[in-house]
Amino acid sequence: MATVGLMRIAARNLRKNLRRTLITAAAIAGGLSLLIWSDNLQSGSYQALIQTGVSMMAGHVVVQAEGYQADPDMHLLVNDEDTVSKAVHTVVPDARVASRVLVQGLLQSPRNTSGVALVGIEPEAESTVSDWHTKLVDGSEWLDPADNKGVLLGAKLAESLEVEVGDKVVLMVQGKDEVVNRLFRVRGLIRTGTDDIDGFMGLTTLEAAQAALEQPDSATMVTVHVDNPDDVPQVQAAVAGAMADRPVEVLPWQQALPEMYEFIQLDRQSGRMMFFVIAIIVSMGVLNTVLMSVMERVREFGVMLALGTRPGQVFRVILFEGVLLGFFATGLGLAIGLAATWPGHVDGIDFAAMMGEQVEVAGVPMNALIYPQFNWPGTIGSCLLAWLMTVLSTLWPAWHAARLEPVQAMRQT
Amino acid sequence: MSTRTSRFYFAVSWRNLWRHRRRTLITAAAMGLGIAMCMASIALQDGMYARLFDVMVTGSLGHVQLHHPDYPAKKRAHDTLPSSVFEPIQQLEGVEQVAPRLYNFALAAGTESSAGAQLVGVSPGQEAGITGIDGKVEDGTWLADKAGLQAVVGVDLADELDLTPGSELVLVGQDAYGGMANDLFTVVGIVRTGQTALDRTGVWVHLTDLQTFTAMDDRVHEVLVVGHDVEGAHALKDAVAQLPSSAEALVRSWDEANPQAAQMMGMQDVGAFIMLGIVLSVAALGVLNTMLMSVFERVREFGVLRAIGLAPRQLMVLVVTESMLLATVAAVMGLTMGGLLDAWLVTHGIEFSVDGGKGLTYAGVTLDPVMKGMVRPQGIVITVVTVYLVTLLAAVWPAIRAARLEPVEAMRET
Amino acid sequence: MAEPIVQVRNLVRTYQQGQIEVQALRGVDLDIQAGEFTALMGPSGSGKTTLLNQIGALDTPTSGSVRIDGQELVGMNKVARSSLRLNRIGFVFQAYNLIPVLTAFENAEFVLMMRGVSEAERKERVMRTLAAVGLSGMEHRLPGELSGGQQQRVAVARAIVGEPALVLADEPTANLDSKTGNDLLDLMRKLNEDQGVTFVFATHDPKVMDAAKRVVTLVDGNIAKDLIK
Repeated sequence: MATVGLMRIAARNLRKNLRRTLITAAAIAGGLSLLIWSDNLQSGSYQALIQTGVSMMAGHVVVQAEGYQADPDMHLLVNDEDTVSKAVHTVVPDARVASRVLVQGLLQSPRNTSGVALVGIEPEAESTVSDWHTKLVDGSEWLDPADNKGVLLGAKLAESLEVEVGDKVVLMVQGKDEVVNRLFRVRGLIRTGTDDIDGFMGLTTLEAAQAALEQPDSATMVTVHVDNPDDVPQVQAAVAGAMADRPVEVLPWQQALPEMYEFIQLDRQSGRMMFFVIAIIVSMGVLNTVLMSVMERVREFGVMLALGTRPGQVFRVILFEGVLLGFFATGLGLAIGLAATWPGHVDGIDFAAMMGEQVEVAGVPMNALIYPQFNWPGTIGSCLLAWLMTVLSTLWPAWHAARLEPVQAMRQT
Repeated sequence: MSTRTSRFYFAVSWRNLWRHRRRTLITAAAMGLGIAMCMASIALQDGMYARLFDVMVTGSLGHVQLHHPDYPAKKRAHDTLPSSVFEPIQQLEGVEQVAPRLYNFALAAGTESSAGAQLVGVSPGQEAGITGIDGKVEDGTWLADKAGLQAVVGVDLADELDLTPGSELVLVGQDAYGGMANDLFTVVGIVRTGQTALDRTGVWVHLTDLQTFTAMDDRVHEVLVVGHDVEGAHALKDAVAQLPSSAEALVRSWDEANPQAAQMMGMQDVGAFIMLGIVLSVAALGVLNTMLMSVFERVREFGVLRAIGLAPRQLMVLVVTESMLLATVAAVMGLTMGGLLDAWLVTHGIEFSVDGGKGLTYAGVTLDPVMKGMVRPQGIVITVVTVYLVTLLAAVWPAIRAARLEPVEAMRET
Repeated sequence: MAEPIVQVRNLVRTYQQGQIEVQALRGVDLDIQAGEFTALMGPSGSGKTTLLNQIGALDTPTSGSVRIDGQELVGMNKVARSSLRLNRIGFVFQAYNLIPVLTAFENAEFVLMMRGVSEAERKERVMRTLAAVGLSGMEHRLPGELSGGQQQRVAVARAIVGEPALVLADEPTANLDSKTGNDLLDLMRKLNEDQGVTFVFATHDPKVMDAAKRVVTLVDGNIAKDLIK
């Protein structure tokens, strides 16, 4: 009963000084919505990065030769690729599996030579896990699985070698014992927009790449792709179990792409630090405002105490003000933060002015057009923290008010 | 306004601030915290940009570049320039260094394995003069001035091929006529340039050696020119372009050659300003509230001032002066805190390493695993200006309220 | 005769004011019976307000004894004194009695709410009491919407609605003009005569001294005169 009376006083006080309440709420809501928006922006950029990295450069789970991650060697391959691939399919029937062979060498045309990173892929499987097949330049065709002499070249690479669709190129690469030359015919060009890829990458069939390395039925990596990233731990465990007898390492994407993964962790952490600092700044503003409002009401609190209200009850009045303000401001900040995320979520935000069309971050190409994603756990956490800090900001003023001596308090001017 | 009046305003405003010491300190501290955080962030950002700039512009772009007109787009081996473009540029006023380069791709074979390599034929002394690459050699030495089939290898490539100073290196490639080219080189040094691609695939050899290797005597792909400072790049470019020997070449300044890099650098100050603006605005809402309440507390006092003859405008000036003094206190606190943070960041830096202690890669540059901050005067100036600007904005509303008070009513307020 | 509602024995109150030790009360003896309408008067510094605060359990003696409604204040902790004030004592202060954000009704019911009285009973008692002080129809007004005299009436209503053992009033008429002050005094006199509410005033307003049935004069911390009319 008494509590209702106290809450009533708290609520009325907030309403009586409406402008002050609104400005304080605006500060809290402003800080919160800023944090929600930038958290969503960060999430969007991480998602894009992970999506690109996992689909094009690794998999959600990757099977590699043991020791490959520590010391990548072109000839360190997974043997019995076909058996391994089938075993993986059996253990995780819902996942998409694609094997790849990485060949580093030289590509020669009559007019020029260039370094090349040639990736041997399974054309059908690959098109279910990555979007290479959507980057074909007009007039190009996707690889035919039976075509072991065909190659797709990055558009800039083709320009530099001065070759077009239908021309011949020679791959020079270190085989098992000596340098090997292999003839290929250009079937098409690929344009991704990243100079590194367009200038140095080529795609061919798995068999062709295996032949270039003189290691049939092998793969640099057997990659596993799932629809729900949360399943990765189970999938990794399942595949690792199936591979128990083989000299391979079964890695989740976080370990297969450590640079990208750790970049995301670091970036998230620095985001959280900024978050705390801003929360402290806002809290100080709230503290000041509540302190001043308590000072204004010292006589009133004195009367309440004189009448027999206990100090703990006076404490609670001010605490309630913080609680109510917290709810209001948090709700407002949440609404604004989500509303601000929406347009970007739909249309994307273009950061090209700051970083160019595409930038390579931690080894993975990132597009300047970023789509913020709704990071609900982060948003809820931010809201809770905002509410909590608002309430905490009222503790000192509340304590101060509770310790007032009624007689002196009432004598204040 | 006479100095006596302004001294009056300052004195009254200053005393007003300190009448409520705790309140003023909390407000100033909140803003100061925001300032310090932004300063630290900007310092880290500027440190990163400095590294990007250093690696990209100093290490690779120079101030002015010359190429065969078709080379930049397609990078075809035979789009070369004659060595004769060289001399006249060296004689040009304002030119500090000129360095030629010839590029080629080859298979680099160590004892156990081989990998594709990007060959860079350079004039050792001049290359070192422009890019400082000799200072980036970690193991062994930079190339000797005279050609002698020496090679300097990028740190990651050396790692992959198991090369150390003294190792033999076989390079197998294609010459200008389509024939096989191969030669045995001796590794004399291992270098870490900071450019990810070069560290992973780069092999530097003497220009003459590479010209022989590729049968492209007396030709170069690229000429880098460096003047006294990067700001003079455009003027330098014009001077170089006007030389008769440069008539056939494509002459560009570094920002024309790499607009993306230029764009990124240009955004440095904008980014800083935006961050400061947002963070300080959030702090300023606290200032707004405090100032509004403070004006209302002093309604009677303002009423007296008006009654004795102060014009409304002058009350506004009083409130604004108070806010500017508050901003100054905040700036002092913030610059002190931020200065300490910056000093720590400049000397110690923050660890930003991935994958077992390596630096992060961004835009083709490998950053230091320990990111160190850098403090630029522009950064400090932008910070201070933004503090005053934001505080001034926050003071507008309270100032207008103070000005609108009617003396008699104000004094009647209990 | 029943035990006096207020029993003060040898009350001494000294406190520090900077470097100086002030002896506000120097051994006061006083008894107040139920139903009294008594004024404590004296010049500034005589100790009348200090004495009132002691009786009101707002302050504790340095030495001596104070018994209110049979309970000894000396040795009572803060919570117990708080409880005593809530349940057994009513207060009317010179100014700023009311909580600005609460209506007249809500201000009057405040003490009952703190005690945990049910909503229905509160409503009944408060409406009755507001009527008794002549404020029917003003229940929903905020203090800012009431005149000085009306605000004091609300304070009186609040003081008596809890049926306390006694009501203490510290300079209740000081901020009112003479007519309003007299009206307030008449109200309190009526409550004293009709309902037997005990009133103790601290004042130097002659009107209050005229209206009082007993005047206790304090000088320099001691009772100088005790006049029962």
